[in-house]
Amino acid sequence: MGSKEISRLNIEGLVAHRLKSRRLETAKDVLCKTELDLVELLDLPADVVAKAVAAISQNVAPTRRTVLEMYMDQQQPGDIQGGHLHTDLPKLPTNLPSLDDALRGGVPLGSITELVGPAGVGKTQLCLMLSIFATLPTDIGGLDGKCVYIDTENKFSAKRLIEIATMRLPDSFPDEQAVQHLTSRVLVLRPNSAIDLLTRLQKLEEAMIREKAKLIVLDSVAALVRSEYGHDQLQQRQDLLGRQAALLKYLAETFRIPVVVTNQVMAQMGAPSQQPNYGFVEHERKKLRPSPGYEDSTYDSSTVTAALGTKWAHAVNTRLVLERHAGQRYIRIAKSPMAPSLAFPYAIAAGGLYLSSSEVHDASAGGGTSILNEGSVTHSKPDDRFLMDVG
Amino acid sequence: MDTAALPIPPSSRAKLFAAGFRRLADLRKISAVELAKESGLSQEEALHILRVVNPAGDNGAMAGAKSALQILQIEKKRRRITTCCETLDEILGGGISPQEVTEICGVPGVGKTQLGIQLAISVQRPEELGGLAGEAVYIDTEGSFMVERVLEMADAWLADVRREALSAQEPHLEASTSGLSAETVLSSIHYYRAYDYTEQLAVVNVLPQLLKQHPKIRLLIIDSVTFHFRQDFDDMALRTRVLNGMSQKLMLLAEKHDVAVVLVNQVTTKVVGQNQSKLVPALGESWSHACTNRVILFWMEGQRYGHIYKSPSLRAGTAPYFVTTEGIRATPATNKRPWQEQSASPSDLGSYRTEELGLSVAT
Repeated sequence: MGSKEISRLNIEGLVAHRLKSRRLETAKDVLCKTELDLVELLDLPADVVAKAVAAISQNVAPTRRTVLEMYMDQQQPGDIQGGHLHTDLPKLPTNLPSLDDALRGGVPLGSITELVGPAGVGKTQLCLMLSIFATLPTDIGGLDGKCVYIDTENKFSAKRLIEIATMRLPDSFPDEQAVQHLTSRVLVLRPNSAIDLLTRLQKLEEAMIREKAKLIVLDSVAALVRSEYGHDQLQQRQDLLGRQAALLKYLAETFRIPVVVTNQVMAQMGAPSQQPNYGFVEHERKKLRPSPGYEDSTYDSSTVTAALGTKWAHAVNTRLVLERHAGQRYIRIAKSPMAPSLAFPYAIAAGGLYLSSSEVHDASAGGGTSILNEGSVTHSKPDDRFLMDVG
Repeated sequence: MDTAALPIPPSSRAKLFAAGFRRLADLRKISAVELAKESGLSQEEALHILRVVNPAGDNGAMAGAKSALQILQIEKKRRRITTCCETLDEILGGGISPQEVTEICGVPGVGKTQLGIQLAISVQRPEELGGLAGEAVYIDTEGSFMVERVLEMADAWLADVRREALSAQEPHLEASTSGLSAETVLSSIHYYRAYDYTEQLAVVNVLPQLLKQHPKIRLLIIDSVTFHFRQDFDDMALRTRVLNGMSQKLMLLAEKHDVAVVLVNQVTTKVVGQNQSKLVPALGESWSHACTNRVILFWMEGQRYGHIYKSPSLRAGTAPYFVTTEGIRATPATNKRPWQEQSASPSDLGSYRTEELGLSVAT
């Protein structure tokens, strides 16, 4: 990595000495200078400097691999039948059949999947489901590992976890012992600040190795940063989010596991017919908090979008939007490298989320309410927005 | 040797003698203009004499120079990397050009990485079919590269290429595709994952060596060039310097090794006035000079479009495209899977209008 010290890089002699005396101690220090700067700074001939920079680069650069090598690594042994490569790599199934079909088996390993939606739409429920499936043996589609569940909103409920498990998969959880096995494999972290979360993510690598965790859930990515950083601190907030995203990606790829994060929605000011606003409108947030009997004549020109802005959106590989439209809940694929944009109606029961029918909706025919990837669409019916979900 | 023995006109020889040039050695180090001045010969005559004395002695000032006519012929012959989407190819003048730096920017989910993967595959198009038969380097800084998506697009591309070769009904074309398989396509894409900007800079520094070892590489993609530079840098002046240094190296590589460089860029929100903002390519003004061509991908009324924003050789143009199971295409998905039947038109998510990207599009 970039902080690699020059002293470990086999750079010797005069160059090493000069680098040290000029306080260029890491590869990062050196590579952030142009070669011309270095010639000046080190007082050495250009070819000597060029050679040293080349040696340092060689050492720091990641290893090259061909995509074929990567493919072979990601396959389960024995999966390559008759030498023919097939496109279905291991996934973590959501156990929502049509959605799994569209996603080629479920939530992808090695990348970030985001669940976006208003409060009470079922994001946490889906996270609990995925945590359960991750602990299941691989022969029934699980990942046979532990789950690190980072709960920033105090919404994790062990009771609910067990309820979903036993209602949905009675065969896998027939007795107390099986349930205990499950609960011991879901590890819940409750960071108390955005900085605490970041520090924990930085150290998580060791725990991942020790605990053999196969899934990271972050529910939610938005809560801490949005409450701690006001709209006058957007830059710091975006920097923090960027680091968080980079760490999550690093963990996902290094351990080839799915990382699932939830995200809130937020209001956008200005009618979409005018210039839409892509900013991060913090003070709109309190309006978003649903409350009973919520009257929103002030809300007509507002639209909702996923919180945290474009920079975060770039970091997400797969985005699933959970939304409510005319009393019906939909889960929609809003961004995916694999799947087209489709929406599936679902309902929530004791066993978690269930798809309502085999009916598949083309998301483009979605009509009124939709939370957009980045853009915006108004709600045609203000009354079916943000109703609190009971239960 | 004596100047008397030179095969030059007697009048010239006489003038040389008169000016004291008796031995050939006297003529070795003198320039044509000096010789003309000292001997009273015309500059053309002096040059002629010097060339007779030393036929290989062109001083090199014009070494490797090409006339505009020659350059025109090279440009015509230069093959481009097809996007596999006829409409995009058309506005790109046939595809992405080697020796140039092309920036592709757009909102999340519009298909930047998909286009990158498509190019990494189509650069392998056999020469017999007008392709480059090249290899690709993919530098992934965001972790958005997905192996199975590459395989899926590679399978579709292979089928297309074979079909094309078959329909031409020429045995040598068919033979040209026989060596291709999913394995060869995948193993012709060299992948680097850079986890921070130091690694990214280091990879760029080792590229010259890689390109020497793998001369078949004709395409270099950095996806995205901006990601790390947008979070780890506090010192903006330093960031600009480092980025400029990197882009210069990339431009050099493009030209020297005849590769196409494709830089994927994110868009960022720029606040203009109160409560108003628009999306602009990230990294600011000075960076926009780093690329020869800039292509912006955007949504408009539920349809994806590509727009040539900046190019020295292409007219500004806008063209629709689709991201299908097969890859980047000019027509919507071909309903290969049952659940795709209803998805003939892409969703209305991210309904961008072009003015939001800070452009005006001539339609």
